[in-house]
Amino acid sequence: MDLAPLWLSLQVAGLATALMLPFGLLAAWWLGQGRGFPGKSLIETLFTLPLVLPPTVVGYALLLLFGQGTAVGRWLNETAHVRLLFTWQGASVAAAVMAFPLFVRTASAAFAAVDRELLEAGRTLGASEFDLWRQVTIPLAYRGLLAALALGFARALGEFGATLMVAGSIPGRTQTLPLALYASVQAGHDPDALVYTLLLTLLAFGLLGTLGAWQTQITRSRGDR
Amino acid sequence: MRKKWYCWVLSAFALILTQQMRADELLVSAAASLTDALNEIGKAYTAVHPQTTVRFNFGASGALQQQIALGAPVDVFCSASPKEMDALQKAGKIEAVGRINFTGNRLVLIAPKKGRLTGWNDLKSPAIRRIALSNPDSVPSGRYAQETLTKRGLWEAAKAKAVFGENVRQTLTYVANGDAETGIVFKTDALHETGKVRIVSEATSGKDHTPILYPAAVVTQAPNHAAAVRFVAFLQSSAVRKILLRYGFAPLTSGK
Repeated sequence: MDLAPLWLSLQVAGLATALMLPFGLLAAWWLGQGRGFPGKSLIETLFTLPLVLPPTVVGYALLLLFGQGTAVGRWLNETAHVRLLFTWQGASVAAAVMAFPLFVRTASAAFAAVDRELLEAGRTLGASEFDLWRQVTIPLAYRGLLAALALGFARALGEFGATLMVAGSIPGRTQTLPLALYASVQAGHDPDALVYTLLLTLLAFGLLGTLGAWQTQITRSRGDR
Repeated sequence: MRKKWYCWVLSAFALILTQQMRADELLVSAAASLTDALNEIGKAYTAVHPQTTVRFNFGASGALQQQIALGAPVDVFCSASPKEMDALQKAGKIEAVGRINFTGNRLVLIAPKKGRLTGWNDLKSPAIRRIALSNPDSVPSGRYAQETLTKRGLWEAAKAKAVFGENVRQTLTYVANGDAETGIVFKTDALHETGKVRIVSEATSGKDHTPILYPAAVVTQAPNHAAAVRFVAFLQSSAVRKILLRYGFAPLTSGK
């Protein structure tokens, strides 16, 4: 039994979460501010697309983008020396794109719940926007943000379709747990497939369970106070 | 403070993303039906060329074709049918020189171990209610099955009872679990489930259907061209032929 896909999955999902985080936080904060502006719903729709599109569509689009056929792909490969096709880093980018909407949706709700008046008060006291962000917004929204982070990570961990297109299914290099599961089924290695299924289920269950328990605990300790 | 934070994150990403690998590595994209046989062939190759690490990317031939067409850094392509290889050759993505057919396969009619099926003509019988076939539009084994059934005048009758699998493994499972009374798959796949299915009859290659061939070729933009050429040549060695035979693949008759 080869456990390499497990470690690779954690590595890929870890990098995917890290890649997604700065963009996701900015996007979520921006959308969660509650201010309407022209084109807002258009952008929201755009950000939500990967959530509803078949992952293979996203995978194919990324394959086109990162390949030698486009200017972006050629620049990445030849000038920046960033190779994303058939590498675990490429798998991370695919997973990050797929996890992005789930993170942004959850996180922007958390930002939207932050009391505007507290921010206004901070402003009248002369705090800079960055300080407000760090000392008011994030501390107030962090529970929701953590939930968003866990969901994003879990989504990245389970990502299959887009990863398969961009990174292939190379054992030991890009074959994450979901890909190893699929390969085992294709090759008729049923016992392996069963182990991978259990591993994925346990991981997701553990992640969501920990998050749920932790949130209940916080709510309770706040209630007691 | 703010700038520093950005710099750290950006340089960390840059470092991770530009990380390089590949000393003497050979990457072979191959049809999923070749998984077990090729894993063993890879080991045999490494035994002869210990300096080379062979890695495989297994998948559906059509998807592998797309990846290579778009510039994935693959060295060798082993397809489950000539169709995908022809398309890549036309686009100049694989080298026509040195392209080979390295093995073949047979199409078989299967039934659950305890099923009563005796031959092709039973497909018309009312006792047979479901026939597991692979989707002829997207799966090679389905295409060959359609050719065979058409040739034997059974296609219309079979189509009405068919349940279509999206890959040969799914088709096999329908029969192995007894959800279909019969099905048509590749012989190599049927041999995977000898505990649950039995082979009732083998279609005649060349007569019932066009011969089932597995082509291999060097990818034009192969990062490790020298090893790619060596590997394709190795596929024709007698050691490889023995391995393929053991997994149920059919030796090529000369001229085919």
